[in-house]
Amino acid sequence: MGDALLEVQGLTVTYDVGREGFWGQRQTRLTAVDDVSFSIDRGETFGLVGESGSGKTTTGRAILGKVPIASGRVKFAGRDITEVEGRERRAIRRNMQLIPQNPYGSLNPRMRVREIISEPLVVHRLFKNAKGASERVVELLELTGMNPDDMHKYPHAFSGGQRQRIVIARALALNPDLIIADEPVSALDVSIQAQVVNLLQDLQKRLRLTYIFIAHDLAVIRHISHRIGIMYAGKLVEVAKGEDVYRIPIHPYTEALLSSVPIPDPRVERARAVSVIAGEPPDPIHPPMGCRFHTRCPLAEPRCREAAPPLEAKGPEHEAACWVR
Amino acid sequence: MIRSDHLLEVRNLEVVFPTREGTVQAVRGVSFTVDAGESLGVVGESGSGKSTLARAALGMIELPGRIAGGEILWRGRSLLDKRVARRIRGREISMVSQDPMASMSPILTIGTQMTEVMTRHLDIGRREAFTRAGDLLEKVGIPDPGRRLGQYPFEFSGGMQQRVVIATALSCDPMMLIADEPTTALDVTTQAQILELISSLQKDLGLALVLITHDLGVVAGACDLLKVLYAGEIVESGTADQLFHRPRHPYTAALLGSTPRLDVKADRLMAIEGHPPDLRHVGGRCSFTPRCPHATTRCTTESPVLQPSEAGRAYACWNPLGGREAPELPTARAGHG
Repeated sequence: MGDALLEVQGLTVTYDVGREGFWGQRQTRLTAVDDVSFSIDRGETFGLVGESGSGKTTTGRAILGKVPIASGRVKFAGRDITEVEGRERRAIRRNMQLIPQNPYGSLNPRMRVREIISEPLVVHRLFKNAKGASERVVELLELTGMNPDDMHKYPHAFSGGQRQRIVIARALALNPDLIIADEPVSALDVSIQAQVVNLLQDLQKRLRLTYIFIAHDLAVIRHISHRIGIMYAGKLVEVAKGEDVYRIPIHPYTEALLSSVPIPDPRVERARAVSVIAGEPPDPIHPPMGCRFHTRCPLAEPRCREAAPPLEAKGPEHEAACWVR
Repeated sequence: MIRSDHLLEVRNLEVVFPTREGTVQAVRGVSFTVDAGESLGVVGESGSGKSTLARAALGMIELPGRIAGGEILWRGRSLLDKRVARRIRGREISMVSQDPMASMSPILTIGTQMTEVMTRHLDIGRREAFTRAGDLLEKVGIPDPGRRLGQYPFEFSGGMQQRVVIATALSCDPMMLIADEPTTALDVTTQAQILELISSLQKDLGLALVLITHDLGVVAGACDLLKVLYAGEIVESGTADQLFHRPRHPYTAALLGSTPRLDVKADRLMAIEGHPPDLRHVGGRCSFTPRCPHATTRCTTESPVLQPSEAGRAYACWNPLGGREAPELPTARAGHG
């Protein structure tokens, strides 16, 4: 590993979701993220992929400090952010920004674009007000392929793709090192999605950004990511370089996931043996013992039901959590 | 009765939605046919008119929307006649939509809902319908159907709900199934299960299938024939192989170029610059012109019509692409859009 910008060690996030037992004496806990560890180098795109409820979004939110961490460490540029508070915490937080999924819900309809983009600058007291930050706003609009005149308009004047550019401009306002993009293109049509993906790639090169790219679409993840982590039911089950995940997947879940993705090519589709995995992800409140995937796994052995396999090295820069392989 | 040799024939269909800011022309002069046992994919982005087309084919356009012109024939009978449409919908033509919860009542058990459809359309009693419902659940891969029939929709996962909707859609032995984004709300492993189910049912039962989606991957495996919609018009149609491997309309090619593929690593996606046109102000030119890398002056003054070309394919373009291999488009700049 080279120059690690972010190190996540044993990250666990739990949510209290009600009470159990006759008198409600036991707290019911949902473990959304369970003992997840990975590290990301500066300038890298780390793709985090998984189905609904796999814990990918919660992982991103925990890194940003938006949900409390039950246990584990998150180190940003060598400093443990779970320990620092106050001014130091704010300084670190400035360096990591979120691009959320929904470009309609994440822009205040009563604010003009200039106020929206300059808000982080004003909050962090780099400028007194939106007007003062105009020059920086113009710079950011140009960076994201928008027109400087757009800063006087309201969000309703823009299409989904343009709104997502505004969201990106706002995320870049504080010159962050790390961007956590949570399904940034899922709500967009494919032609617009391609524009935004290309923009994110260009910005990464120009500004040497580090991305955590969270998505459920494996084709998009493969396209943009240098390394990929695959999550299943709160666990990180495999981490490898992008091409290796597709070329030599180790975890049976990764294999099943890849095989489920339809390829936009009728010849490939006809020749391809789709191995549909039966069943659905487990109940997150009462996950199965042992490996979480054993209930659906074609290779499951008795030991898979007893203990959860650790994420360990299985090849060069290739980790997986599986007893069988 | 109007003469038609096809199962479904749509002729020059126009659907409009009047709004305070002008009339939205959602579907503009669309014609196509579906024959028995055929699998047709309709591909388009948001606002291309693909869902409106599906609703029109079932006589389900609601006010303020209306059919402004054209004809929809189901085995020679006009579906524009509401009484005809009501009798055929759910029986001869069934629909599966994106959100399974929207097609079910949350306060009735699955069994009640499924039997209602059958007792309404078929000449059978409740008891017989209930038995049939159990068989159908089994057929679509729901374990323990006897118990499941007594449950409510919320007790099913999204994938299982969609299976129930499919079972209900098949309950009256329809001849055609219209599936509008049937897997868009589902996770990818569940999507694979549902697509496999739809494809195998289509083949086993000899159903005609109209699969409407934005996802090129979904139609590549499931459909033999394709129509590409853009701004309310069919811009290209042909077999799946023709369109995927030798697209002639620049929009079809651009759509393929902007879709990332799992099996091929591209350095850069070919984004389509700009965005789709405002459907209140269309016509008089090719609607793709502002985004088209091959546009000429003719494209801005004259609207191309869908013309049949070789081997059953058709396209609406003045400057069609070579038609041999998927041509390389100039990489579009990440533009204002």
